[in-house]
Amino acid sequence: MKNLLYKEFAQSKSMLKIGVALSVLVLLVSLKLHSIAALDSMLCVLALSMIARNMGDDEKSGWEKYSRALPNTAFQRMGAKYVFSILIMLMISAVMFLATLLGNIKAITLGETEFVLNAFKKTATSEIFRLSLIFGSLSLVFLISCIFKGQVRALLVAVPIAPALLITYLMSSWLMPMSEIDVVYKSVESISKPKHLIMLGISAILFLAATYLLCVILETKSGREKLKAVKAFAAVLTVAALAVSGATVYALKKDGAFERREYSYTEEYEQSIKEKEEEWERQNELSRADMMKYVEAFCGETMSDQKTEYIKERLTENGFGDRIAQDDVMYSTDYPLAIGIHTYGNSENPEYPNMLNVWANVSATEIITDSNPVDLANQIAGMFTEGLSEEKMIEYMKMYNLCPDAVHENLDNGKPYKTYHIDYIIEENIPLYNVRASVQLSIDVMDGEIWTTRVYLEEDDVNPQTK
Amino acid sequence: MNAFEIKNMSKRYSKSDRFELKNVSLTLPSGCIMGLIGENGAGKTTLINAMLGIISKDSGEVSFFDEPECISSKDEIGVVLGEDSFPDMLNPIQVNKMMKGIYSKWDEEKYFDLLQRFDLPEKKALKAFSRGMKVKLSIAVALSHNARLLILDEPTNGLDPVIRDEIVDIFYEFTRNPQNSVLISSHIVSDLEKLCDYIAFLHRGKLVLCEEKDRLLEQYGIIHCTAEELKKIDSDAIKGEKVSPYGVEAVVERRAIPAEFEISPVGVEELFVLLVKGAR
Repeated sequence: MKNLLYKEFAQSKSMLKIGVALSVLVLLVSLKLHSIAALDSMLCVLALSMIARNMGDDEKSGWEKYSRALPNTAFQRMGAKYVFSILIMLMISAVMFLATLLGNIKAITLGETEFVLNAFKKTATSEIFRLSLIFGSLSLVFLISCIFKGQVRALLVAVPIAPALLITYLMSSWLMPMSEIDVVYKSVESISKPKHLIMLGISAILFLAATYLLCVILETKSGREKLKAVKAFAAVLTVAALAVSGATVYALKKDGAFERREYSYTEEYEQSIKEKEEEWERQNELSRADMMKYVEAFCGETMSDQKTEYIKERLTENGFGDRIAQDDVMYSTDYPLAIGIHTYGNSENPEYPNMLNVWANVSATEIITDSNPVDLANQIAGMFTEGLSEEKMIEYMKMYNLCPDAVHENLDNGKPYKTYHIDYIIEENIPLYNVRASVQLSIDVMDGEIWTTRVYLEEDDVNPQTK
Repeated sequence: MNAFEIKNMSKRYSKSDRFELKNVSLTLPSGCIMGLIGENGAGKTTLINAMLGIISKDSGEVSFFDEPECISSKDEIGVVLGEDSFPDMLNPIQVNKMMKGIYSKWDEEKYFDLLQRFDLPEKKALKAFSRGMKVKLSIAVALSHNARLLILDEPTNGLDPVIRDEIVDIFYEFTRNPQNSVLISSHIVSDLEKLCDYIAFLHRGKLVLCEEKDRLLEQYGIIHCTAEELKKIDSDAIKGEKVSPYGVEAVVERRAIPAEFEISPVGVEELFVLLVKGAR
């Protein structure tokens, strides 16, 4: 089968080249736009056309006939096709994983790993789910057309796609807890129930058994009478597989798998955002309290190397260690007060004069030169361009954890439109910068599409001495 | 040992189909070349497909090298089924990579030698190959896994005489090894006449005759006479006749012909044409 698989790949070589080129394009575009959805669909279509072309070619060509005179079995040939289909599917998924990862590389460099992982998992799972739906539809169309046309050999091509569909369901089920997946329908969530998985497993086994028998039919050297018996058994198995699949679909439907999921920001979601904010506050306060101790200890003194080391240690203990580069410390040694000791008596912050400046200065050491709140705000605002569908807009909001604070309904010359207000984009990122910036996005949606997007940016300098 | 033995093989594609392969039994001893001749639609390809398991047969048995047919015996059979055996997207190097995992005795060196000998480009996709080049590639594959039996379904059809001659020479070389055998179907009888030890003649799905070529040519002859004269001959001895305004031309069995008739030697091609057109 390994060598037949080589044939499948070699045969699709030019298509694979196009696939790789498109994948690179997807990666570049995703880096630029933080959006992969449109080209993602294109890749799916490409994968399907590759598989369909590959299978169709064999059906029509002399290879199908010739290969049956070679010392390999129909099951090996079909296995190669099957494995090829799965590999293409996995390749597309892998590209989407990579695209997601690279698309969020800036967030990774900012240390927002949780955000990236979440987006990564969501995209990957949605991707697999999407592929399984496409494969499923294709499989069904093949099966129906084959049954109506009575084409046993074509059925041989179609039947293995059904287990592929089931396997993709299982994969998406395994990848992440279903409750975290935001897809249009609830199928994936429902499919995680054991009874559904068992039913799907049985269907897959029955489909595979039917496939094997179909291969036997094609390879058989026995007389017509014996062949009839095998055909009848294969038909029974196929009918059984279809029946179990049908029952599974019915069970899924009964459990609401095909109900459209409403996009709504639930209390649970809002609570999780609040918890994140509180967590950040808690961490920040802890650092402040601890900072106070050594700020007081060194207040008014000139910094020595020893003291720099001490501060470094303390900062490390407080979770800032990985944010201090050697260069920053050297700089601080040359200008001892710059690392946060010099700001006592800051009249703007009477309550925590030294602490605040320490905090601000420490933060300043880890500013990433090519990232600032303004750029980030513009990048995010750039996604919500005029003409983008409301559905897509919500998808992006969810991808970037942007929760609308309010949605207002208005009229423009008698025509209704909605305005989504989001006003905390950068606030979560404050510890990373030496400025406090808040961005407000106002997105007007009319007739299901973005009409206008307005960005309001306010910068509030936390530490004027270091800016 | 026999290279293959077919016993009572029958095949009908559907009940409404008028064509039927009827109880064909055929044996090829090892080391021999058998030509399978017959007009278009006589059942040559059906017979080959059924014996190779490409299509299912309704009844009958096939054995290769005195063993019942199985996947392992296919390892020792080289097959040429026409020009479109390999996917067009592949090139000969890729065909090599694929086939060396399929045949256990694949001889890579021999394959590339044959490609050179046939003047076939190694890196060119098969879609850019001419018909002759594709057939040559199929032959190169069939000869590159130390097969003991070649089964060739009309390999020379549509090729120019120079290439045909070249291909016939290759089969000659193959059969220099006394263990090697060839079954070749064609309706280009002149090619078979040069090559074959045995001639099997299929007509409308029935095996009309299967003889050693030399015996066949000894056994049969052609007479030219009038219709009245022909009536004097035992009708069983007349295998085919062609009537023209100038008289009758008939293929006859030499043993049953009265001495007054002048019997000319018959070529396989004449025999074939008269058997088909003038079958009684």
